[in-house]
Amino acid sequence: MVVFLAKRLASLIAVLFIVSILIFSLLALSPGSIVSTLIGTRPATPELIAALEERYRVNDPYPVQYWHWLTNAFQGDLGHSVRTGEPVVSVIASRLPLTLQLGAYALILVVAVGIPLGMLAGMRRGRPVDRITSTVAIVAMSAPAFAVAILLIWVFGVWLEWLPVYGAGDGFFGRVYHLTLPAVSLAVAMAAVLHRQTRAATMHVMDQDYVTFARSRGVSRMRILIRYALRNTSLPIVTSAGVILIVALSGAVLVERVFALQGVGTLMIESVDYNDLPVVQGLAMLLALLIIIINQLVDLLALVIDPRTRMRGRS
Amino acid sequence: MTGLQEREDLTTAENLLSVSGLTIRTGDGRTLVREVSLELRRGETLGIVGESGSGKSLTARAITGLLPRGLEASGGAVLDSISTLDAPESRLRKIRGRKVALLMQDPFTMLNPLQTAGTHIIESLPKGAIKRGAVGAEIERRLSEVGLAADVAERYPFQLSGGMRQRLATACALAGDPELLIADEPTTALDVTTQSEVLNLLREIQAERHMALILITHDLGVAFSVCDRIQVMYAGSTVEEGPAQALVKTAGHPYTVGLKRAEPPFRHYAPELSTIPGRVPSADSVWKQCAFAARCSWVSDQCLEERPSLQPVGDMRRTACVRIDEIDEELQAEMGIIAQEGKLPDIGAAQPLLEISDLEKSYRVSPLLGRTRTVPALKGVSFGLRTGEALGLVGETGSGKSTIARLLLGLTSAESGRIILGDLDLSSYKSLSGRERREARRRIQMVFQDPYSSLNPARTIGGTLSEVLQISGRRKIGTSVADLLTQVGLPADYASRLPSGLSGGERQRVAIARALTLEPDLLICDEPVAALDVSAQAQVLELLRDLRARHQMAMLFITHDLAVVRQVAERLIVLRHGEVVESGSVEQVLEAPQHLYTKKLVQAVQQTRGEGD
Repeated sequence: MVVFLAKRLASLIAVLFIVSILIFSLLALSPGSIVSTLIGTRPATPELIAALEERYRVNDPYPVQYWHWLTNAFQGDLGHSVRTGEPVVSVIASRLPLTLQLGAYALILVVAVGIPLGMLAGMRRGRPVDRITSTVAIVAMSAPAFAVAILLIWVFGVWLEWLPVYGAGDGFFGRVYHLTLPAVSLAVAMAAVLHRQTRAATMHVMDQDYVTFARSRGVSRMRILIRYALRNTSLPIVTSAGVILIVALSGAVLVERVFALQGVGTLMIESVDYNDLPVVQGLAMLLALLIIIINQLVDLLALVIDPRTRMRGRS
Repeated sequence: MTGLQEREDLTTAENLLSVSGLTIRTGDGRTLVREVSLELRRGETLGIVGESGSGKSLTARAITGLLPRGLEASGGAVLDSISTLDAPESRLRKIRGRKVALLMQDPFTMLNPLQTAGTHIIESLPKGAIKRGAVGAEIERRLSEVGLAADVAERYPFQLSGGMRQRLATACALAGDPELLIADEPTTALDVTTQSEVLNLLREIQAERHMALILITHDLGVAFSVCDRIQVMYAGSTVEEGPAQALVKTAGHPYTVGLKRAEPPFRHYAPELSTIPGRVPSADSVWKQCAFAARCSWVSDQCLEERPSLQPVGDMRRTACVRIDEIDEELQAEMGIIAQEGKLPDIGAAQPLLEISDLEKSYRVSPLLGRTRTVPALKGVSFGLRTGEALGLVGETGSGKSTIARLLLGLTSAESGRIILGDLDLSSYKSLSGRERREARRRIQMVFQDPYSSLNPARTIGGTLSEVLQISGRRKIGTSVADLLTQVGLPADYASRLPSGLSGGERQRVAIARALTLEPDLLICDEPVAALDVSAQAQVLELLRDLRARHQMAMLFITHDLAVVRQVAERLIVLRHGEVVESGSVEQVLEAPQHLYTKKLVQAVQQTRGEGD
């Protein structure tokens, strides 16, 4: 087990390293210079340019720039925001909690709605429950998160005036209250995808011989539902849930924008607009890290769920 | 309706199960099983015999209320005064396990992969039957009843062999102490030795518990060795039923004769394998006539006039053959022909073709958690093969049979040892030039076990075959897809069909035609008839024998079936744990086995065939 985790950690670091090179190179190659952004409307005196170039190491060879950035990054220093002059780490840290809360809220909704309805549809194939949820899921899947968001704002915010349409709210309940509409808009498409996945997995499992054999022995309905259907479907579901979560991260950018939430997504848009290179680099690294962690978690969960992956060889 | 009622009242007194007029239809109205009746007393053993498509498994599923989605059953099935066809699911759940349990065919798919053996047994025990503290002891007792050690309880299904899984499944099915156990082809997916072990186990448990048993099988020999009574099904209806002892000696229906004759003899070489021509029709296409008419050599106008019902013919047996009185003598004479012996055709003093020496191969198994292990697959295997000769390769799962085939085809490479085919050194495919590799692949062709997965389901038969024709370059010389099909006994218009429109035997013929197109020197057949019904099996074996003689082609015949190998091979190699434990002429090895393992194999075959062979 220790060896396994150590191997996984090593590969995690290796992937992160490769990603860092890619991100750094891509952004370094992108048009527009930091110096001109920083100078803005000020007169561009040679001294000012020289000072800025010195500070942001613009004239160093590319590998040296990268090396500097990397060693600093290792010490938790991702540079300073061009826009505000604050350290990138603290800029991101101040925005991160809200986004994570939004993501967690959405994920809870996705799992709580997508999986049970998917299982129900899978077990009652062709019955009304299946037809209705499947039709709704197809509509929901094809609606982009920002469009859903605007619809929800109009219905629940403007028309019914039940829920707030902007801001993050204070305190736990205030936060939940304010994040409901954003979380729902984010969750709708994901829940639909998970519903489809769960439905397919459940249908597959319910057709397996072991379910028929269990029924032939008089094993109770509840036990077949949980120990047979849920456990055996959880493997493909967890795998797809990981992918869904990653896709959702990009959806969060737009949803935050629509609901005027000061989260990481909004920060990303602002920073790109302002050509704030250090912050964009930092965000890209954060995103890469999240994706890698999600994938590792999915693999770990698979190990927990399925004894075969724990012990069987890959020869 | 009142008649049915009366009948029920009469029979339930002594019968545990009585099924009457059971009909199973699909949602779109096709009939799969038509008016099947059967009766079973407590402690009695009934064999339901028939090929795939005969409706025997569906009958069993219907009795337990477990028909696959979309199928509807009508008629009556009364189990211990409970009508199982119309009982609600909640009622059925109470009788399943306690009154009736269904043991299914494939031990590899029947158990929940995510729970241990012990958990399987606990969940199958009736609620409240066992006190908390006694659960461990109960699991141990249940496991030992089926011959499994107590430590198996901790293991997951994937850590058990096929035979052990089938034993575990049996223990689960028996956990509720049912009065009736329905075993649906419980040994088909197992090795010969394991087959006879599992059959013995079922026999013992049935006798010990005085439990009723329905054994569903396509193998008459298996049914004879276990059952009191036998019911033969064909195309969704019963064609004959009677005591097993009577059926062993005489047949009351041409289909039964066909089934018995199609089974290749184990004790001798049969110069001509008997086959039932054609394929099983759908129940709907034959519902107004005798279902077997199209394939029967005794067919007359009488057989096509109406659907025959089961008529008593003495000896407590009944048959659906309307001409039984006229043809009885001929039928019994036909049964006798099975014993006709013959000599293997002589292949003459042929040239050596293939020389294999000291092959060593092992697989590395690296689990996600834990140490990488090396599992030896072949430990110094040597043998030779002459032009036109057929060599049987016999051994159980994991003995290294398939590894040899893979090595010959260059799908994997050996650690050491040599493979010489004529002037080609195939010890390492990697060191061959592209031209040599193509040549090697042309000279060695393979027919796989499962004709359902070895043909591309999206391509027509013609497409599959013309692809190979193009590779062979013979298209110019004028060989056509139609010629290839005729060569394997299929009509030319099959070219436009998809594999899904063909029966198992027909697909295997296509696979053989595909392999033969390249005119190989060596044809490797990996269990080519294991997935087929007995009648199709005999047809394919006959085809292989014929083609081999015509093409002067050597054959490496991998199988676990000793009767099959007797019919096709001159020499035999017995493999065990990657080593050759015995070799010699087929006759010599099977008549006078020397190695303990070979003796066990031969004995197992005799047992499953009811020793009457």
